[in-house]
Amino acid sequence: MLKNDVLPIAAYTDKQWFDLEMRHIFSATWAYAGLVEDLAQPGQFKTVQAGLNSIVIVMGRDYRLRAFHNICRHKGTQLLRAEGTVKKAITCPYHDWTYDLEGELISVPKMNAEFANLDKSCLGLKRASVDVWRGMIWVHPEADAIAVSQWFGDIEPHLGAHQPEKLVEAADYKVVEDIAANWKIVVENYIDHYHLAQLHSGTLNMYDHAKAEFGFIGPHFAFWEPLDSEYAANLEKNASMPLIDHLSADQLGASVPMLFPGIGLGESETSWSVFHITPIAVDRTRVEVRTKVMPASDWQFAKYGARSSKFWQKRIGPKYPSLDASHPLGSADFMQEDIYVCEQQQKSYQSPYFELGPSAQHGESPIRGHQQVVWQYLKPFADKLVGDK
Amino acid sequence: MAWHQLTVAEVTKAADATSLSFDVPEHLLSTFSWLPGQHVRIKLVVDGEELKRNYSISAPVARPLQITVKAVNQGKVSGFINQRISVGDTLMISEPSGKFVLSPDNKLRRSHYFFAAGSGITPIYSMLVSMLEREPDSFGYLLYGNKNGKSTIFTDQLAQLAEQYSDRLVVSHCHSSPGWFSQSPWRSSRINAEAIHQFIQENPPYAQDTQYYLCGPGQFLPNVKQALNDIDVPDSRIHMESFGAGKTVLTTNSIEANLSVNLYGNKSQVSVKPGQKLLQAMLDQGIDAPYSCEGGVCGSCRCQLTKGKVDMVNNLALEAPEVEKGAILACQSLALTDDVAIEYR
Repeated sequence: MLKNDVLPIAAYTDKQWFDLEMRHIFSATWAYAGLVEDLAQPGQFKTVQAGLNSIVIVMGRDYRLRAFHNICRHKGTQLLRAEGTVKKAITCPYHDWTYDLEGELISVPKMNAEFANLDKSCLGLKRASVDVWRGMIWVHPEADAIAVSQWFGDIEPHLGAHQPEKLVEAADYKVVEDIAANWKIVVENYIDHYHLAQLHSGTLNMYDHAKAEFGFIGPHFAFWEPLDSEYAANLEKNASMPLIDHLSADQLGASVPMLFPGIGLGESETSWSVFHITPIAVDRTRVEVRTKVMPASDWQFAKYGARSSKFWQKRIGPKYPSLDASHPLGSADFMQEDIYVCEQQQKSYQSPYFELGPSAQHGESPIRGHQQVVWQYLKPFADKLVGDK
Repeated sequence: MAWHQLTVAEVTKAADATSLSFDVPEHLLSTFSWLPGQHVRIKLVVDGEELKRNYSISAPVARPLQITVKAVNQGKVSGFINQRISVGDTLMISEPSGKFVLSPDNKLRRSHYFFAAGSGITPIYSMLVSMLEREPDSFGYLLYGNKNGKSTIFTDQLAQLAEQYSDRLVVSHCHSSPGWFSQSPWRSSRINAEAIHQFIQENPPYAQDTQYYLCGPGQFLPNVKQALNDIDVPDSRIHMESFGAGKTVLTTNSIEANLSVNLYGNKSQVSVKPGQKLLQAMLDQGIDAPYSCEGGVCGSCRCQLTKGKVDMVNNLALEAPEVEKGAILACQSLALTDDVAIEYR
C-alpha cells in the first residue's frame, strides 16, 4: 500500500511554503493571462498578477503585444490598473513619468532642473515576456524566457485537437469562485481520477472513467477519457450543445489536462474551457473558468438544449438526492461538489488529530505526481521549510 | 577578399530572371556555408572590362549555392548572366558575407514579417524557406511588391510554400500595374504605408516576438521603415538591406540654423546649434516658450512651423494631419534648414 507522503501537511497550511511557492513557482514560470480576444485592438491593455509580479500587457499599433513589469522606475508606483486603453504612451499617475510602448522612459517633468545628468535610457520599464499559444495569452516575468512553445512542447501532442481560436466565448458561462483551500488541494482534486466515479456519480457520468488515460509529461499533466457508450450511441441527439466541428470521431471525449502551475483545461466534445487556479493565501484560492463553444446561433443552442433535455434529466442528478439543491452534495453541479470536498479537506488539515491516509495506487497517482513536481521546484529551498520534509 | 572559381551546375530561367546553381567542391563547403540573407560577390570580365557585383543567395541553408539575377535594362553583369552563362561555365565568386540575416533557431518562436520589392525577394526567399524548415514553431508573413504577376520572381515556389505551410505562412502580392487578364493581386498598388498597415491589420502576429525584414531598391527601405515606425515598431526589430537601383537615404542631419520666433506676437531671433532642439535653444537664450514634459508627449510646446524644415525625434502628441499642416513640437524638433521660423498662436 502506498503512503501519501510526498509532501507534508505543512505544505498545505504553512505560510512559508506558500511564500516559497509564490516566489519560485508562480513568479518563475509562464502564467496564463487570459484569452487572445481580451487584447484585440491597438492601445488595449490588461494587467495580470503572476505570482509576485504585476505585469501589464499592451498591444501596439503593430498588433504586437508587449509586456512590462507594472512598476514605475521612479518610485515603483503601479502604472496601469485592470483593463483599458492607452494612446501611445504609459504615464505614471504619481509624477507623470512617461514611457513609450517599448518601455523607454521618454518624459520626466522638470528633468534638467531636478535630475542632473539623468540618463533616461537606463530607466526604461523592466520587460517581461508575452506570447499567444492555443488561443491564450501567456506572460513570463523574465524578458528572455524560454519560448512558450518549448515550455509546453512535450505536452502539446497530448492535448485535445480543439482550435480555441475557432470557438467563441460563452460569457454567461464565466465562473469565479473563491475557495477556502490551498491551491494544491484544488489542483489535486482536478487531476484525481479516483473520485470521478464516486463524488461525481451523478454529474460526470457522460465519460467512460474506466478507459481514462493519464500521466505527467514533465511538469504538466495529460488526461483523456472517451465518451460513455450510451451517450455516444446517439451523440448528435444527446449532446446539449453543438458539437465541436473540427474533432474527428475518435477525438470525441474529454481531454482534461493540468498545465503547470494550476492552469487546467477542459476540452470536451462540445466546449473548451480554461480552469485558472490562482493562489491567494495558504488557505485561499481563486478559480476563474472561461468557456468557449461553437459559434452558433441562440436558436441552435436552444435546439440542442431542448432535444437533449430528456436524456440529461434521466442522467444527471445530485450525489445525495435527499439534500436540498442549495447544498453542494444536493446541487447536481460537479464544481460545487469539488469545492465542497476541497474546503472540507483544508479544514481537516488544520486539525492536530489529522494524519495523511493511504494513497490509491492508480487513481491517485496524479496527486503524487503533482506533489513531486512541486517538490522539485522547492527542494533547493528545503532548509527554509517546516514539516517532515 | 578571397575569390574562388566555381562551376555553374544548373541554370533556371523564370520571370525575366536567371537562377544559377554552383558546384561547390568538398574542400570549400565550409567556406561557402551561409546564413539566410547573405550575399556573394561575383567578378566577371564583360567585353574586356572587369566588373564586380553583389548578389544575394536565394537558396535556403544547406542546399546547393544559388543566386537569382533579374535582367536589368542596360545592366552589364545582369545582362551577361541572363544571356550568356550556361551549365559548365566557371565564375569567380567570393565567400558569403553580409549582416542582413535571419538565423533560424528551432528553440525560438517568432513572427517574421518580410517586405520585399522586385529582386529584393532573393535574400528574403532564402530567409523564408530556411525559417519554415528550421524554425518549426514560428510564423511567416510576406508582402511582396512587383509591377505585375509576369515580372514576379518565385511566384510558383511561393504559392507552393503558402499551400504547404498554410498554418504558418501568409503570402500577399502588391502589383503596381497589374495585368488586365491576370489573377488580381491582394492589392493593386506599390508597397506603401497604407498597404503595410492593412497587411499587418489583416495578419496580426501570432507569435509575439516579431521581426521585420525589408529588402528592395531606392526609397523602399526608408518608406517601409517609416511606415513601421508609425505603428510603434521599434528599430531594434527592423532588419534591412538596400537592393537594386537607386540610392537609399536613411539619415537626417540636423544643422546650425537661425530660428525666428513669434511668441504670441513677441518676435525674436535665436541661433540653434546642430543637434539642439528648438525649445532648448529658445530657453538657453531667455525666451519663455511654453513647455512641460520635454518628451514629445504632452503637447504643451506645440507651435506652428512657418518657414524651413524640422525633424521631430519623438512625437506622441500630434496626429499625422496636424503635422502635415505644419504643427510641430518645439521640444522634439531639430532644424534641417538654415532658416526656420515658428509661431505660437
